[in-house]
Amino acid sequence: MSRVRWHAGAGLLTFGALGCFACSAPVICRSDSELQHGASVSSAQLSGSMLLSAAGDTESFYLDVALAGLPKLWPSSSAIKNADLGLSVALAYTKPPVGGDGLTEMPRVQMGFDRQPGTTTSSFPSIAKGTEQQLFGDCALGGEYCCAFGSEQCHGRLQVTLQRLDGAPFPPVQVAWTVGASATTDSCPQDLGSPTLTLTSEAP
Amino acid sequence: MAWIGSGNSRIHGASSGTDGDSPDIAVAPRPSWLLIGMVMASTFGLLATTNDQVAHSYSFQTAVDGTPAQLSESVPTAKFLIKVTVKALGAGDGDTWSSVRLAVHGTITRDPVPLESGVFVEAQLSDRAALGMAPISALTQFDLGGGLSFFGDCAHPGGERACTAQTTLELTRADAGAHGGVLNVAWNVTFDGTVVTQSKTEAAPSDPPWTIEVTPL
Repeated sequence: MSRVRWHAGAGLLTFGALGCFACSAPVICRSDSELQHGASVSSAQLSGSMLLSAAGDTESFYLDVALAGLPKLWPSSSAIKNADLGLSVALAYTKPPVGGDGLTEMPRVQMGFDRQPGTTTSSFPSIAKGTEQQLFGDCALGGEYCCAFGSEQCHGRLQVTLQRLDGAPFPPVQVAWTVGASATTDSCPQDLGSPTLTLTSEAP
Repeated sequence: MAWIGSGNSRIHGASSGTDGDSPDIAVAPRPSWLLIGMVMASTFGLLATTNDQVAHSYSFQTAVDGTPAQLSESVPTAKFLIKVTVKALGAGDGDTWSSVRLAVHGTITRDPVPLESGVFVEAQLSDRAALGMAPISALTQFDLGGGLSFFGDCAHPGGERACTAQTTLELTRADAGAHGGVLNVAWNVTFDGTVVTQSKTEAAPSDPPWTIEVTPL
């Protein structure tokens, strides 16, 4: 009789354990764990230079940014936590004093995206001056260069404009630009995608 | 502390039965006018003492125009001595010399040097120890600045050892005049300072008790 009871007890225990496994919760992404699962991805940096000789001289070029490999199933918040494009310029005269050291007066140069007024360099620039453009926000919230919710890839095309503001007596100035994009995506659950970010430039 | 002791002795006296109107149990006695007077005097004394220990500060700014410089092929460099002498203590007997910064602003015009030539003017400040700050290369305008150090018996200004500060402004054509013409440099110097005193002044004075001299060297 006691042997029968022992078998019945062991059976119930095993059944209960299996039941517990079957009922265990699936992997979920809580708000605090999402921060730990953010994946950062950066594009290759592009660079170039141009000579701006007189006041009003303007040069522009296009940039294509593509964020691919996004998950098919997006978290309710967004699969893209943050994405931006950074542009910086450094100025140099073609003959001494070369400048760009914070001690030499140089013409101001304005940089911006899509003809919008952006950042202007100082009269005594010392370090590369930069500006930023946010990318791939939720299209439901509006804004330029947005990314529709649920997209597996997003694309943006921006025009970069550099304009010299001051003319003579400032000599011609070489403007070296560097641009790069970066993004942080939600990678929880981690097997839902491996994003890539590409950046290409094109003359207008 | 003395008035607390007086109060206690009175309570003890009451409980000993020397006063016929005294209650049977210990109660707080009515404060006497003498006691109130002592408390008020003590409070006013404390306030007066505290007021003396509060530090007051005021800022001042004064500026002078420098002698304009004409930089040409024959005279491509100009040098100026800026000298400040403290004549007296500031308002509230504060010192006007311990926290002073000077700023030199200059503008450059050309006559008749062609604008396209881009001739730079190098501007540099040097202190009494001939320690120069990094020179600025400017085409249209420049700003130079730094702290100003005073030497002498500054605790007793106007005495035998004068309390003075001096700095040198040097302006040089980078082309040594090779492009011809004249570069005109107009400039001024501004002094900003802060005075901390123990006594409150009615109104912050706009000008410190200084003599400022600009001398071409």
